[in-house]
Formats: sequence, C-alpha cells, structure tokens
Amino acid sequence: MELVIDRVSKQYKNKIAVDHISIKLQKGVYGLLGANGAGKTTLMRMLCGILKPTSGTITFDGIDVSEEQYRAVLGYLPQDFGYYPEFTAMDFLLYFAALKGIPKVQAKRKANELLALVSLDDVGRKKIKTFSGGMKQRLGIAQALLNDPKLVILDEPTAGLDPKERVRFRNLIESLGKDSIVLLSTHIVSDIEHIADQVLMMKDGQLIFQGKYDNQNGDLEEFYLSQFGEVDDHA
Amino acid sequence: MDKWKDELKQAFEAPQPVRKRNFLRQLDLPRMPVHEFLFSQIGYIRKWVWCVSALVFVVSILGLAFLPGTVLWLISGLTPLLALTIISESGRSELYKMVELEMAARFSLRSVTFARLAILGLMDLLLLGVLFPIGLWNDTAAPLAAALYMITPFLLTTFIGLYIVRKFRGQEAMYACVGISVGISISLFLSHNIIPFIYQEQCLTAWMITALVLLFGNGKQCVAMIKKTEEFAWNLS
Repeated sequence: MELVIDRVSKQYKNKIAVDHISIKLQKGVYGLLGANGAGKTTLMRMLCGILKPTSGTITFDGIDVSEEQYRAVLGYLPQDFGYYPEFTAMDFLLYFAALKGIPKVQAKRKANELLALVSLDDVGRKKIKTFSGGMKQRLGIAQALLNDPKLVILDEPTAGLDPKERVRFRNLIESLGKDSIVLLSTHIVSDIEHIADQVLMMKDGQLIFQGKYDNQNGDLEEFYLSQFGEVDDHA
Repeated sequence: MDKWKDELKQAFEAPQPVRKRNFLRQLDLPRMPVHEFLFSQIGYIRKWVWCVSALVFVVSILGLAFLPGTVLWLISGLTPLLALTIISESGRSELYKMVELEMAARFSLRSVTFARLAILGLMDLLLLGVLFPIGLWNDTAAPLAAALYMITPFLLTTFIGLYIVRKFRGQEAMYACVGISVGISISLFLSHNIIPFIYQEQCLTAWMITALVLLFGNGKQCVAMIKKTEEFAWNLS
C-alpha cells in the first residue's frame, strides 16, 4: 500500500499554491501542519482528484488519481461541506454509499454500524439541519469511512468537536492508521502529537519538514514554530 | 443443545478479532453496477420535481376538458416549467455545497450530474410524448408544427437556465432561473391572444430554425456542464 506524490505542483495565474511536492506515504497516520494559505487544502484536494495538478503525478498502488479505482479506495472529509436539506443522517450515508458503489443491503448495514461508531445512532432518522456543528462533523467522518477506505484524507477533521469527541476521534484515527494511509490536516498541534506517526509541514506550497516526531525532541508546537522561524531566516 | 451453547459461550470468551478490516478487504464484495447506480438516483430527485411534472399533465388534461378550442398554446406555455425541473436538479450539488464530497466518490459528480440530466430528460421526453396527442386534439396544426410549439420553449428555458446555473452560484442563480421560466411561460400564454399569428404556418420556418439553434446550444451547455464537474472551482484556500 503506497501513495506516491511525484513532483506535484498547482499554479493559478502567478500564484503557486503547491510547489513541486514529492513524497511517498505508506500505511500509517500522517499529520499535515501549516499556516493558513500554506497549500494544505489544495494538496489534499489534488490527492482526492478534485483538483488537477498543474504538473506531476499522484498514484495509489500504481493507480492514477484520475481513475475510478483510485476513488473507490478513497475516503475524504473536506474542511467545509453541506448536505441536501431534506436529508436525515441515514439518508446522507445511504446517498454517499450509492455514490461509492455500495449495494443497498450492504450500505444499510454499514451506515448503521458507522452511525453507532460516531454516536449518532439515536438521531439517524433526524434531519441534518437540526444537528449541531460537532454532529455534522461526526456524520462527515462516518461518510468518509463508508467504503472502508485504504486512503483516508481528512481536512481539519477535529474542527467543531468537543474535547470528549476529539479523544474518541483520535482513537478512531489511530485504529484506521493500522490498515490504511491516513493523512489529516489540522491547526491543533496536540491532535497530531497524539496520533500522527509522521509529521509533514507545509509553508508557501512547499514541504519544509517530513519525518517522525517524538516527545524526546521536545514540544511539537515549539518545533513547528521554530521550523517556520528557521525558514524565514534563510529566506 | 441451546443450553450447551449458552454454557459454552459463558465458559469461553471469544477472542477479539485480529486484523478484521484487512480480512474484510480481501473479500470480493459485490459492487454496484452503473445501471443500478442510475436507478438509485431516481430516488434522490426531489418530490416537487415529480409534482411539477404531474401538475403540467393535469393542467393540460383539465384545459382540454374545460377550455374552448385547442390546448396546444397551453401546453406550449407549460413546457418551460418542465425545463425548470432539469435546471434546478443540475445545479443542486453546487447550491448545497455537496460538490467536493460528490467529486471524491467512486461515481463522481460527473456521474451524478449525468444521471440527473438523463433521468429528467427522459422523463420530460416521455411526458411531452404523452402531451403531444393532447395538444393536437381538435387543432389544425401539422404534427411537426405542434412538436415545435412544444419543444422550442422547453429548449429556450433549458438553454438560458443551464447557462445561468453554470456561470453563477447560489440561491440567486436559482431564483433567476425560476423567474426566467415563469417569464417565458407567461409570455407564451399572452402571445396566444396578443400575437396569435406566431402559431400560424408563415412562422413555422422561424420556429424550426430557433429550435435547431437551441438544440445545438443545449448540447453545448450539457457538455460544458459535465466538463465543469471534472474540476473543483479553485479558490486558493
């Protein structure tokens, strides 16, 4: 299981959002850190095939990002997503199960399983418009896991979750990382500290750090800030 | 026997599954075929869309029963409302911020948009087919003319509507489409009394040219619409 990002760039007019990023990801949890506008979301969107790279290639086990088989193994939670107003939580999951090509009987079983996993089983028949931000976020996470993805991409997944939910979510991500490639971006350094096997840092569209991080190296937040300081000094 | 089973269950605790997810992934589970996906999308078309189609049919029948003369002009004026159902469904993902999620799915936004356009296009074609003999009832118009009177306002509305949905975003775009389709409908109802000659033989060539141009234009709009679903509108975030 390998995700290969090879010299991927995204340019829009005179702005380079992602600048020649090359990296190979194997099974595990990868935490993507970076300030606003660093290019995290653009990179994630390219990894999901919803933005086309200006140059470079993205493949998962040799399958190109533009192919249907790539999307068949992908689970994605965007930073901001909506829902059709008439949908209940169950409708939402069944709709995405259909889009992910899961047959109806299997989809119902999986949707019930996931609603229980994200503690929404008691409100599965309620309309999403009655949900709080945290509940919507949990539903989004459930949707990403419908097809038992081998590649999970989560953009700011802990936004809107309360501390208790955040801990549950961390455990879930940790277990997912045992059998899948999980890439998550967040502003909350402690989330990455707890669950990420590897840390990736982005600045101005470039990858400025990639590697393991453990507590022996000190506080990740300080390390994160120092990385930015060092780069600024060189510039 | 059941008692033994219970006793055994209590005596030996089942071990926790090991690498369950990996095992399940190895199973060759059935995948939804394309035609099944297409059928599944019928259920996600909103109820009001079916209601509008039913309303157009019922009003045409009532018109035939109670209005003096023929109802071809009435059906002609109602077809923009049918076109509105196609426009509103094709812009729905963008309106409700579902684009990003739908694009990342196996059957991506492209398939969803295509499915919606195909289902509603087929449904409207069937309905127009049913309304065709009703429109011709007691009317002196030739079948070709009747078909043009019914299809041209429909094509005009879809052409303008698909352009608006493709170029502009949000609820305002949808309001504009509703306004345009209602506007075309009202114009056609009024023209039946104010400028009745447009439904006469001397204008048939103009109807034909307009219909052909709009047919070509609609084809281009549909291609552009499907093309738009290939890449997310980038905003540097």
